[in-house]
Amino acid sequence: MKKLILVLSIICLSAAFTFAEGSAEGAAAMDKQLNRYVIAKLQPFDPADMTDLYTSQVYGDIGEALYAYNYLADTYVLKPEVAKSMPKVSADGLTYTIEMHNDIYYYDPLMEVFPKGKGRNVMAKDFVLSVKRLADPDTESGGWWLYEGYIKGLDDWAAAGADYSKEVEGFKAIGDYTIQLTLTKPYPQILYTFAMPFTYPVPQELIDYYGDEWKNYPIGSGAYYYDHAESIPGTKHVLRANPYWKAMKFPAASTAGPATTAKLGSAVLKEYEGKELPFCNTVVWNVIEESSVQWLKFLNGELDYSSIPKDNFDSTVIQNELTPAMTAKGITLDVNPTLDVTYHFFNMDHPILGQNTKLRQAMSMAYDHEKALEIFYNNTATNAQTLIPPGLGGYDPNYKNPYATYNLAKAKQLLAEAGYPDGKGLPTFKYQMYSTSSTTHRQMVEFYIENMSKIGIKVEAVAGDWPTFLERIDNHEVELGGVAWGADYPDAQNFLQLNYGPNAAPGPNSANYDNPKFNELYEKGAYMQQSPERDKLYAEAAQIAAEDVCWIMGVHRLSYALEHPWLKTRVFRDIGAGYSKYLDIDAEMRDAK
Amino acid sequence: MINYIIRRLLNLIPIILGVAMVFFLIFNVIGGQEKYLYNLLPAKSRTAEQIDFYRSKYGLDRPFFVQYFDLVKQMVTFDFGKSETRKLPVSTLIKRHVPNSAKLTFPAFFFEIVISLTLASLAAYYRGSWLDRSLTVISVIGMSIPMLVLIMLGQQFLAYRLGLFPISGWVRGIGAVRYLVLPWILWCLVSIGYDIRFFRTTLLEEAHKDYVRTAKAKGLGSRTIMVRHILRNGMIPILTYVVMEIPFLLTGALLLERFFSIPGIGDLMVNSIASYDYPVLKATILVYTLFFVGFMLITDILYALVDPRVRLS
Repeated sequence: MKKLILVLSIICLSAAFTFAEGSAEGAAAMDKQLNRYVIAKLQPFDPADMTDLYTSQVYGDIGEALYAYNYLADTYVLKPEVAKSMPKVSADGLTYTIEMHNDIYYYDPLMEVFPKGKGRNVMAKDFVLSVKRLADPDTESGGWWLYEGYIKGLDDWAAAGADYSKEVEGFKAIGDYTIQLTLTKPYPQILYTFAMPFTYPVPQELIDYYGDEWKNYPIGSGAYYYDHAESIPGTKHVLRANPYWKAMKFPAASTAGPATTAKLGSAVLKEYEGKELPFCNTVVWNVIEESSVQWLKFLNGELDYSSIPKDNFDSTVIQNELTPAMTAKGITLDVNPTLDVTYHFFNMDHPILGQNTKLRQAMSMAYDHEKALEIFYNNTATNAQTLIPPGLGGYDPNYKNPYATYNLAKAKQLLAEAGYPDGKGLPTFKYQMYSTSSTTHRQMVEFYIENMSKIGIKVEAVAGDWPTFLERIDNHEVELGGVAWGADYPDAQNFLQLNYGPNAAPGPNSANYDNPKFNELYEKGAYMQQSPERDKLYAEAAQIAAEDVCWIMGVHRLSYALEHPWLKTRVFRDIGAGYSKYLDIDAEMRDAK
Repeated sequence: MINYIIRRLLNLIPIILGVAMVFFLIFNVIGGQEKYLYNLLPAKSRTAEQIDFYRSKYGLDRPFFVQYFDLVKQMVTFDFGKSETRKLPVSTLIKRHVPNSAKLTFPAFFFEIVISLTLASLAAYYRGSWLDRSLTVISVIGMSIPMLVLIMLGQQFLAYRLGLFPISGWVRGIGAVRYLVLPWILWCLVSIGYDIRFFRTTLLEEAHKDYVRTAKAKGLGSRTIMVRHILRNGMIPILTYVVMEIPFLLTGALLLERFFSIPGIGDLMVNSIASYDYPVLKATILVYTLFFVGFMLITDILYALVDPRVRLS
């Protein structure tokens, strides 16, 4: 017995010493280390398949695009990054010429592809390769829809077998540092795609060296490189400052919008203006899949900022203010609108739902939007009036959707006018679920069913997972469903396309809504450069769809983030990537905590 | 014994065919095929041409029997190709994740078995005493608290509030120990209740056998009887139990791995289910089957070695 106690004591002491030693190591490594997180495991670093937000965020620190978003502007304004300037666009809006910097270099931390580490220049041919890879069916790209049908010769090139030795007429390198792009029809949104990780350049040498596995060895020209020795896929991704990065400076205070100025403060903006980036020499992207762990790590100072898990919201934020306990720790709350919309859609191909506008209007008015906002979002969102979120051209703050409001009496009246008083004569509609494991989703569907039952409409839930949901949408089999859409780029066209007739499933128009007037306005606006005239067209189109009620409008969500006082220059960005370089921390303050 | 081992190994053939059939029926026939396809397709926008292209590329348009034999071939050659989500060879992923799971589960299992066997022996030896009763109560409490609750309490109080351990994390090499101490403790806490009860019952059963009475009649002391006779003879069911647990150790501890960010095989398997990564799922299921069958065989052989009365035939 004594021996056993002795052995156990030794084990416990060893563990304690190991832990104590580890803590000291951890403290030493905290010097200008930015601690960020993602809530899912990352996919391989293939720009052509950069469809998930989390991989894009990490890859955005490693790679660089032709264009990026101005960090301090309140709206999303493009600025040149690898490109030298904004493109020269022909008068007909079909030809773009993009001049690139000639002093941006790849960095290979493993010194395998480029034995000296510092690689060759980033060249026009690398961007051409990236766009060709998007079109190549074999790459299974998730970003091809951004280009399909728009670039002269690219669809044909892909259909003819994607021979990389053949030039694509509409996207080619004119010399080493000039790209020429020729469109089949005006597509002003294309510039935004050049700020997306889909188009990050990949050197052909990387693919040649590693073969099929090159996606696990990211090489870029961005502010950080991937530290393979320290990174553990599935647990953390460690990035270090790229010694050969073409240094950039923190933007001028004059470029900051009013909201950003209010958030950071004029003094901070002045203090940082013109300072060389990046501020932190290490960025650790922790992979944390459980929100309770994320929360504890934030409270423990192991994450520099955090969203607020649903279960912790009420104990953290009361009436949109942080609790005194949080404030006492110097933690601040940052609330921002996100560019997204949630909605419940009707299948407009359905012989009853699709043909009876008053029935859909009745269902929309039977849905208690305010209560849904309270129950499912803790009032941390705004009820959507149309599909265009605030902050985008075409959003009309004065418009009030007459059917996105809860009015049971009116709903019953509309239902009677639709020919189905108290729901009599209607079949039981089926609501297709996209998850059986998400409690919140199940509750949302139950809430919908309960709301409809108040006017006598029977709806039943059909269990299913995400692939089943997509498959049934593609087969036009989903009668009722609900989903959310987040912006890919800051243009209302990205949302309006969800109601555009030719985009019916398997395209993004899951409702299969097809209104000639809407389609006409969409087509007219989609080819125009941003202008008040275009915004007006967009607003009109959005309101037509809203009052046709092909969707029951959901919400535009708000982002609630908490920041520790040592995090200095964080600005909320819903779109784009590569923002770690702008973030600074006060390491001494963090260590003192 | 050699003949017996060869025969058991030959039994692997129908077992693998059976596992392949069950997998195939669940994932290819009943409803998984289209899930697999839709997991490959981009979620935001798809075209009919893309759907056809993917269906053809991954052979989902071929007859079922061809798909089944493909699966059997993959299982026999252990060539599952590449993970659909990670784009790495499945064998690389398995090799990378199994050792991490083993680092979590083997030491925890070892500590837990040593502690619970010691406590169970004491409980059996002092049967009916306050020690025995206390251990029974502790066992029942241990068996009643779910692992998830223990993890959350452990992270909240031992890691965050008291700062005794890291909340979660992982590093390569010996440094990983500091991230493993809390999961080891939690593993022990959750398993110890079951094991004390099982070991105590086993030892008590043994204590009532004739040879124990004979030993007592010969005048042997009760401590000697316990250590030399009861413990030794009680080892057969205990050994069976311990060896049968090993395949489960190699397949990881899902909740612990997920909450403590330990890149183990359990987490890999669950993620492959969630993301419909069939190549990884097939491989992990086969690995699990092989471990299980392999350790069943080892158990049988150990039986024969520990108890000369057992003959393998």
